Amino acid sequence: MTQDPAERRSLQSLDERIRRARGSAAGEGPPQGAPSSSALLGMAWRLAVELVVAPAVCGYVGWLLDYWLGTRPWFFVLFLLLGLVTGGVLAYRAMQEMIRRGELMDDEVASNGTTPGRRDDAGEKRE
Amino acid sequence: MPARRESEALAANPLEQFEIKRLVPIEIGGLDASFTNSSAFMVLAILAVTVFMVVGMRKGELVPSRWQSMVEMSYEFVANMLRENVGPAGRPYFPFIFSLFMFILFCNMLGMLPYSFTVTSHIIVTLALALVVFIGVTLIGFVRHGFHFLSLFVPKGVPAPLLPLLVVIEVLSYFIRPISLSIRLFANMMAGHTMLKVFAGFVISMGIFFGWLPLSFIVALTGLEIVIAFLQAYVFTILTCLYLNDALNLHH
Repeated sequence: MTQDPAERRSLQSLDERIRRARGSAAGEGPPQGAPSSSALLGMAWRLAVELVVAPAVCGYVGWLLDYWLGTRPWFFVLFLLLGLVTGGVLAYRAMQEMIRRGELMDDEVASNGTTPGRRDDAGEKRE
Repeated sequence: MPARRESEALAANPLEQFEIKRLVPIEIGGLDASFTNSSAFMVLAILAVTVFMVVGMRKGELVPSRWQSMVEMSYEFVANMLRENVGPAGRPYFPFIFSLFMFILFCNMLGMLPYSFTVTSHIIVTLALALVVFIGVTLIGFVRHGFHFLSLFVPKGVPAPLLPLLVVIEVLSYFIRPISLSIRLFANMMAGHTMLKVFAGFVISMGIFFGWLPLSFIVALTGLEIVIAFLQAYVFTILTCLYLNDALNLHH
């Protein structure tokens, strides 16, 4: 039962691949490649819609409150302003996420293969 | 001018394609629960997904055939998305995320077939999907973390005077989620299909000499629409993943 070197090498590489597959199935291993450009395009959609929807919805809620409470136009103005700010904040966050992912992509290209960990720096955008 | 009238009839209302038609009228307790063309296409989408998955994996070969590798690719695609955005805690929710993605994708793609109906171009459908996600994620958050889940609305490292304003913004942005989620999908699908119909109307009304221009434009637009059909399914799913991540891991 002597193994020739070629066979042992192929077994070793099989072992390596099995370990890697197990790791990634457990969610420990690196994600399979950095986000693609379609992921970034998807985030662009997020950004655009949230910027528009937030003031629209908030304005409507304010208008409804005015309608019920008879305080026209104060709640409308207040909620519209809040909506504008919220839209800005959401878009800002989506943009930061986008930049972060773009950097991940660049890193991936630069170091060719070693992917950085998942969402490690997610806390920093809160500042 | 009969020819003119005919062309106007052909370039009919571009919104006609979104009309709901009752196929089997059903009424339950005064509620209209008819089986409509919309329901028919949803059923069709589910059947198509089932056929796609089951027939593709029927043999389950080690070296996959083209069809089987398509099935495996879609599985891997969603699995990776979930792993990247939620991590190991998200694994129990994979079946839901995968079904959601495949359902939206197939609804969008079926809508690209001529004479078909695009389910996702109706805001009530996308809103229902988004509300399922929203309510589900909120429940998961409360079940997992109890009232600690509310700390999601309190940003960290913020000076105290600003805190009330930021909490209000966080709460508003949380409740805007289902609306932006549904409007994005619905608006994209409806705008695209309306545009296709409008340009198709131009083909007829511009006649045999100039009609080619909008026709060639339609070809390009159809390509774009297929990309958007995929992209919007993807965006809906990845946002679901991000919301799930918030609920499970309590950080943005």
